Amino acid sequence: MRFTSVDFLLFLAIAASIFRVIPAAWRAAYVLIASYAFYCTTSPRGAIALAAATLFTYAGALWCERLQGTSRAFALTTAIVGVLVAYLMFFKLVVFVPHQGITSWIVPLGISYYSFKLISYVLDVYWGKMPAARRLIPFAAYVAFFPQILAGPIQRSDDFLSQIGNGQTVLPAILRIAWGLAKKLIVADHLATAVNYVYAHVSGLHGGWWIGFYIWPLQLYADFSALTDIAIGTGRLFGVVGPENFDRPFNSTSISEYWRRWHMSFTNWLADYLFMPLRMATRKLGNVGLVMSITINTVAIGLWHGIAWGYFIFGILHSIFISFEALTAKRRKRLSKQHPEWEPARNVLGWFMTFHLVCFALVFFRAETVSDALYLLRHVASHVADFRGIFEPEGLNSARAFLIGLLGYALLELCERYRPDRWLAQIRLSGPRYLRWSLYASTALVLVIGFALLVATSGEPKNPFVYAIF
Amino acid sequence: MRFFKDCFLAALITVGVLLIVELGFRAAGVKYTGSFFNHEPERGYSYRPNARGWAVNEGDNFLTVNSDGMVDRERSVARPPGVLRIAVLGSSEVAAEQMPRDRTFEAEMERQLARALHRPAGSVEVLNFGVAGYNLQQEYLTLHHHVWKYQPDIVLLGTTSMALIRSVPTLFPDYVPGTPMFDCDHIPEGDSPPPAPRLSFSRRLRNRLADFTNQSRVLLALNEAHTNALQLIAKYRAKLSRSKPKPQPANASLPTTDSIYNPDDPIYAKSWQVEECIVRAMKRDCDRHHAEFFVVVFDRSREIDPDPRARAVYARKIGVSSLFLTDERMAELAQKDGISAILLGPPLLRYVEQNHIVLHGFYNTAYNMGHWNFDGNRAAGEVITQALLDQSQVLQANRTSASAGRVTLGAN
Repeated sequence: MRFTSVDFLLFLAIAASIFRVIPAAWRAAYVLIASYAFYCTTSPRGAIALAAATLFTYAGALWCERLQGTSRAFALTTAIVGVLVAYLMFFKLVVFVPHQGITSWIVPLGISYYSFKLISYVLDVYWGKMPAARRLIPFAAYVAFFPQILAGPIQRSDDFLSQIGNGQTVLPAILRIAWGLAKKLIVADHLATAVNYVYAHVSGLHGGWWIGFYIWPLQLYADFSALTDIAIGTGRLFGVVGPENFDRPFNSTSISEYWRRWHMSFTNWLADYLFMPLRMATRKLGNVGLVMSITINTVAIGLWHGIAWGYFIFGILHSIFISFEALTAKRRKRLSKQHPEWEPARNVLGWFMTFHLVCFALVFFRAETVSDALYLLRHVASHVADFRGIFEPEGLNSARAFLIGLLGYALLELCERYRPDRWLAQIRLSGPRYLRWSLYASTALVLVIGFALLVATSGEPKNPFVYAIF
Repeated sequence: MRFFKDCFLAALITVGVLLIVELGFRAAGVKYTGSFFNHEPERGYSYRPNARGWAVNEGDNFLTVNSDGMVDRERSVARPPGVLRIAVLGSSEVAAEQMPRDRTFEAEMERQLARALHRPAGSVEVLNFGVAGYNLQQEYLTLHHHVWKYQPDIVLLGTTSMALIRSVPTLFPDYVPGTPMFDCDHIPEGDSPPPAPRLSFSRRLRNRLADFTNQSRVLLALNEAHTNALQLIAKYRAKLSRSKPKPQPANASLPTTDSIYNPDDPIYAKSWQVEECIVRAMKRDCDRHHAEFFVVVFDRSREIDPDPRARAVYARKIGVSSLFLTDERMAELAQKDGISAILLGPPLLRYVEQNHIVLHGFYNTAYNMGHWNFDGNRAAGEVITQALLDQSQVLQANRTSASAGRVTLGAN
C-alpha cells in the first residue's frame, strides 16, 4: 500500500476515525493492530519477522536491565545488538546470494528503520537512559508504527512511548499529509521523468547530463521530504508527533551543516550510537581517530542504503568532505576572525561549494554503475543546451512536466523559507471573521480537489518513493 | 448585515481560490476526457450537438462536435453545387476522437481526392458520421434517418469485427441501455425518421451541466474522480464478496476479443447473419438514394503489428492461420451481394513492414494498442482513396482528365 494511493488514504481515514472514538487505554493496542494490518497488506511473511525481532528485543532488554551493573550486561547487550545487526545484514546481503532457494526471500518492509529503532532501544536501556519497557503492546506499537516503518523518521522509544494514547491533532495533520502529497506528486514525480531518463541513458545522450547532476538532488529532496511529511502527518493523526527529518538542507553553507539538516533523525541516530562511541574509543589517536570515526560513520550511511560500490563511494566522498572541514576548522575560524568583512562572500561560496559537492556525491548514489556516474560527471558541462532529446519520448508533455517540477520546487523552497502556514495559522487565530471563513472554505476546497485529483489519477502508473526501498 | 457581508467576502475569496486552482490546472496541462454524448431514444445515444472538450484517453485532442451531432466541422445540409460528397459511417475508428479534424483519415481523403480528381480544395467533402461504440444497427439507423439529407454521392461503411460482437445482445451484454439490437426480421425500412423527441427539462439541464463541466479542468477532474471512485467501490465490493462462492454466470462462454479472429466460431453464427442482412439493407437504401455503397473493413492493431514474430505468436495463440480471416470473410459476404469491399489490413501491413512504423497507439497507450494514430489515419486515408479511385464509378465519372494522378502511400 503506497502512501500516495487512494487505498492508503481510505485505510488512514478509517483507522484514524476509529482511533478517535476508542478509549485512550486501548489506543496502543489499536495502533499495533492497525500497523500490522498495514504491514500485512505488503508483506505478511515480513510481519512474522517483525514480530519475532520485536519479541526478541523486548525480552532481551528486560533481561539486560536485570543484569545492569554487572559485566554480563555488556556481553548480553553486545549479543543482542550483534543479532540485530546480523539480522539486518542478512536481509541486506541475501539479494547478492545467487542461490535458487534464497532468491525467493523478500527483504521485510522497513527492516532498516525498525532494526535501528530496536538497536537504539537496547543501547538506551543498557546505558541507563531509559528503563526497559514493561508493557509489550506499546513497545510493539512503537516498533511497528506504520507511518514510520517505510522510511522513518527514526523516533526514539522514550519519545514515542510518552505520546502513545494522546489525542489527535487533526487539521495540522491533514495539512501536513496534503503538503507531502503535493511535494511528491507535483514536484518529485514531475522531475523524476527527466532524471530517470538521463540515468537510464547516460552514455546514449547527446546532452543534458546536467539534469542528472543538478535536478536529481532536488527530486530526491522533494521525494524524501514528502515521505517524511506524510509520515509525520499520519503519525499526528494517531497522537504521535514524530521528529523532523529535514531543515532546508540545500541552504547549508558547509557539508557538516548539510548533514545536520538532511535525514536528521538518521544522522542523529548515527551520531549518538555510532559516531560518539567511536570518537570516544579513538580520541587518543587525535586527528587520525577523528578521520577514522568520520569515515566509518559516513561509509555506514552509504552502505545502509545497500551493498553497492556507488553507495560506498558516496560514503567515502562525504568522509573526505567532512574530514577536510573538520581538520581545517581552526584555521578557517582564525581567518574568519581576521577578516570579518569576508563573511558574506564566504557564505555564498560555502553554499555554492556545498551544493556542488552534495550533487557530486549523489551522482554515485543514483547511477546504475560507477562507470555511468563517471561518464555523467565527465560530461556534465558539455552540450548543456542540447537537452531536448530527453523529452522526445513524450514530447511537449514531458517538457511541461519538467517545467512544472522546477516551478514546484521553487515554490517549495519559498514556502519552506517564508512559512505561509504560520501566516495562515495567525489568520485562523486572530484574523477577521470573513478571512477565517475564507480560509476554512478554501482549505476544504483545495483538499477536496486534491483528493479528487488523486482518485482521478489512481489508475495511472506512479513513481514509488525513492527511500521506500531502503 | 455584517454576517451577510462576511459571507459574501468569504465566498468571493473562495471563488478566487477556485479560479487560481483552475488556472493552475490549465498551466500544468491537467486535463481529463469530457462528456460528449446525449441520450437518444432512436439510437440509444449520439454525440451531443456542439459539445466541446478534451479527449485524452489516447493522445490528447480537443474534440468539437458540430451542430448536427457529428464529430466534424460544420457542414451545410444542402450539398453545395459542384461538391462531391462522401458519407462515412462507423464507430470509434471513423469518429476518430483522438485526432484533430484536419488529421483524420476523412480529412486526408478530402485532400487526396481533390488532388487526384484535379478539383479545387473543398470541392470534395468526406462527412464523418462515426459514433464511438456504435453497432451495425445504430449505423444502419444513422444512414437511414440522418445521412440522406446531406445528399452524399458515395456512402462508406467502416466496420471492424468488433461490430459483430456489438450487434447481438447475447454476445454483448454490457451494451448501453436503449441500444437498438434488432435482428434481420425487424429492420426498420420506413423512410421518414421518427420525430425528434423534445428533451425533458432534467435532460437539458444535464446537457448544459456537461457542456459547462467540459470547459473546466477542475470539474473534469472531479468528474473523473467520481468515475474512478465508482470503479474502486466496485473493486472493493468484488474483493469483499470473493470469499463467497459465486454461481457461474450464464454467459460464461462469452467471446473474448481474441475469439473475434476466428470466423468459424459457432458463437458468431447469429452475428454474421445480422451483419449480412444489415449490410444488404444499407445497400438497398443507397440504391434507393442513388448513392454508391462501399464496405471498408478496418484492421485491428494486432493484425498490423510491425513485428512479424508478435503476429505469428498471436495467431498461434488464438489458433488461426491468418489474422485477416474475419476481415476477409466480411469482405466476401459483402461482395457476394454485389457490394464493393475495401480491405485495409493487408495494404496497411505492407506499409507498416516497408516503413517500420506503428499505425496504432499514442504516447499514453501501450505499444501498438488503441486506435489509429497520425500515421495510421494518413495511411488509411491514402489506401481508401486509392481503392475508391480504382473502384468507384462516381469518381471515375468525376475525373476531369484521363490522367488523374494515382495516390502513393506515404508520398507526403
